[in-house]
Amino acid sequence: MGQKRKHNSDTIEIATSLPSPATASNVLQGLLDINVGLIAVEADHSIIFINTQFLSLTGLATAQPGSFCGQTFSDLFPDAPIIADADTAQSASFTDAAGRPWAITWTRNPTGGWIGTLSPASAQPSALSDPGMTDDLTGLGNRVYLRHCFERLSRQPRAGCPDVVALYLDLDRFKPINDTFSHATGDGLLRKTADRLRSSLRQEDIIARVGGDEFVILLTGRDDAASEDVARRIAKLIARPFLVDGKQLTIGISIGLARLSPEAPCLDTVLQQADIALYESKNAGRGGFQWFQSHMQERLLDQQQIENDLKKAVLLEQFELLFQPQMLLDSTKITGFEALIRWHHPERGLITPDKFIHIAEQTGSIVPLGAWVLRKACETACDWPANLSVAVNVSPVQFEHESFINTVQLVLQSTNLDPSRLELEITETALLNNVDLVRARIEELRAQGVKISLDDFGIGYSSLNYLRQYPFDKVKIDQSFVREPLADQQASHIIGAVAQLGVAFGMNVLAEGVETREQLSKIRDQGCSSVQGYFLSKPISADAVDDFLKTTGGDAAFTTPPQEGEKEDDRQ
Amino acid sequence: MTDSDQELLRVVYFSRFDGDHSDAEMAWEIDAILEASQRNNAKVGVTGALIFNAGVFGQVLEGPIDAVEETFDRIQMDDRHDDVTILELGRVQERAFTNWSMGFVGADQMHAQLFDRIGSATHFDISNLTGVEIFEALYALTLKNEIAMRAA
Ligand SMILES: Cc1cc2nc3c(=O)[nH]c(=O)nc-3n(C[C@H](O)[C@H](O)[C@H](O)COP(=O)(O)O)c2cc1C
Repeated sequence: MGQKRKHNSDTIEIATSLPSPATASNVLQGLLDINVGLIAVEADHSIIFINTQFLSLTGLATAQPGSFCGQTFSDLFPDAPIIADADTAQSASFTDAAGRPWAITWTRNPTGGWIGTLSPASAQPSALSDPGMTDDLTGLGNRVYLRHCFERLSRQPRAGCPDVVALYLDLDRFKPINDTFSHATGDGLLRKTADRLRSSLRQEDIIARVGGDEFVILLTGRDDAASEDVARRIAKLIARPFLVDGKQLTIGISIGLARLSPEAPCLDTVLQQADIALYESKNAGRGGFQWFQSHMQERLLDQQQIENDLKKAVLLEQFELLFQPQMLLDSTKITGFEALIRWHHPERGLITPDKFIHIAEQTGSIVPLGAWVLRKACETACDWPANLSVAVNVSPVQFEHESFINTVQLVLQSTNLDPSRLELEITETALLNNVDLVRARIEELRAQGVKISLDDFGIGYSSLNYLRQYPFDKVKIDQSFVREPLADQQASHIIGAVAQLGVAFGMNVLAEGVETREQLSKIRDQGCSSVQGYFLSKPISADAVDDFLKTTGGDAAFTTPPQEGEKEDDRQ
Repeated sequence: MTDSDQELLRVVYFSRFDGDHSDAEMAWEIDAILEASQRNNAKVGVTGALIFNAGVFGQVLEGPIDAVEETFDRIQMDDRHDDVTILELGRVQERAFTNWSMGFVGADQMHAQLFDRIGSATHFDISNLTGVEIFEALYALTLKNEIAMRAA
């Protein structure tokens, strides 16, 4: 309010600050209808004004506003604290007849009594003082706290379901840090991550740590774009370097978002959806975020269905092995076959390994499945001429499993196959973890006469160092290098380099996926010793091996390239 | 303050001032940063120096490990800058900056003789310096006491 004038100050004040009677009733009507809950009480706490919004929010809308005049506030809400006789604004909480929590702020009315404004009670427990709700490490809430907050949110009155977006967050690359440094460092990092998360949120947002490096955030009152802003900001802030124990650490975070909706009406479903979205976000490349979409669920269900079916399939032996020949280039003699698995699913038909092996690895079915493949391949090879070997793919999970060496020995004993005719193909991924264990296994198997090949060389982590570090008998150059246009200098350099190194270390260097005569001669020029691929033959059934050997006489020089349209991925 | 009984950490980093700002806005923001630094760092025993030039910050922070880490993380979260890059990080026996000497170096205030070792005054770009160079530049600044002290 401006400075009072020297003269006629009273009249001027009144004229500018109070509306005329006609306007006053408009204002009063407005206050009655405004969508903020308002109430005014006298000095003795009896109600002189209560608006419709206040009544409808607290479930009293059935009565006329006027009918409450004269009653005290505590008559309506017995658990409300008595208004203190203080000049400062005071907040109090109370519950309505339906048990919903509310907060009210009382401000002293200069003309006497108090004016109260209603607001929903904060969903967060007033302080995280309950140890049963606190995560000891980070001081954030835990799962119990999350549920508690969600229930409070759900009790707040509104049309439809509460306006909540759930974020499921998981740190990227946390495990290697936790493994490499001390656990104290890992804990310190989690604490600092929690601080950054908390400071990127509003007061009313809810955050909890729900697993080792997993967090959940519940946002309220944010539309999709605003929720994405939060996710983006979090991803950006967490990607910045951390200082922990005087060391610099860098991690990232992946986020899945889902909105509470009629399809996901409760905490469990919305969290599950956010978790599915998180999974997709991780797969799409880390450090980002994804909204849940229903097709993700289908994909997950599909995957779960395959998981279940896989377990049965191992028992019911719904698999078949196909065999693809390998040839030594200088003699054009067939040296053996690689066993390739197919799944004949009773409803889905033929399923290639790229659709199910990773699932079998995740669920552990790969161990019995791998053992079946090994046995079947060795049994089949026993029927072949004694100079032919059989190559069997071994998943990293299988290779590192404690039972692996034992399984190989048992299969060799029971089939009576000469160990030197068995070739185990492992991929680079197997070499990344557990270096010591992997090297020990390779050496143990080789000591028994079994051959070890490095498969799919050139994709993934490819390091020529692997060729120096591990005693392989054979290295197989991935088909993508062979199929590159012949002009591709880099691909051809790589093949040349691997072939040279391989030969220098006494390894057989095989090029996969050779389809044309042109590729074949190129491969030969680069110094590879063996080939496999459609140029020679597509994978054939065990029964067809005999015929194949007869027609070629074990000498593949005369085979014809496949017909157009018959090609498929050799790695399958 | 005695540092003898506790390990000290020193971090040197640079970062970029975020967004488009007028000179006046920048000066205002930097004042605010200096004010907060002055106020907060002393409380937790953190000393060091801050340099600002051509839209880039360079900062040295020294002090007890926890205090430096905590301060650094708070700074990290600041939206006024981005691309925080740590140039040097390590334990030290002694402080190089015994006082909190936040300095502001605008391009206009550059003196060629002050930075003759690290390049021409007109093309002074902190982002091209190594941690040691930033550190030395700041050290030279504080020693010569020729910085424009903004913090009272
Ligand atoms: C380049 C840069 C350097 C900063 N250095 C410091 C610092 O050394 N100490 C500090 O407390 N704040 C520093 N700040 C400010 C913090 O980011 C943050 O705004 C401040 O600590 C908040 O303090 P207040 O809540 O006490 O105001 C810096 C900010 C920037 C952009």
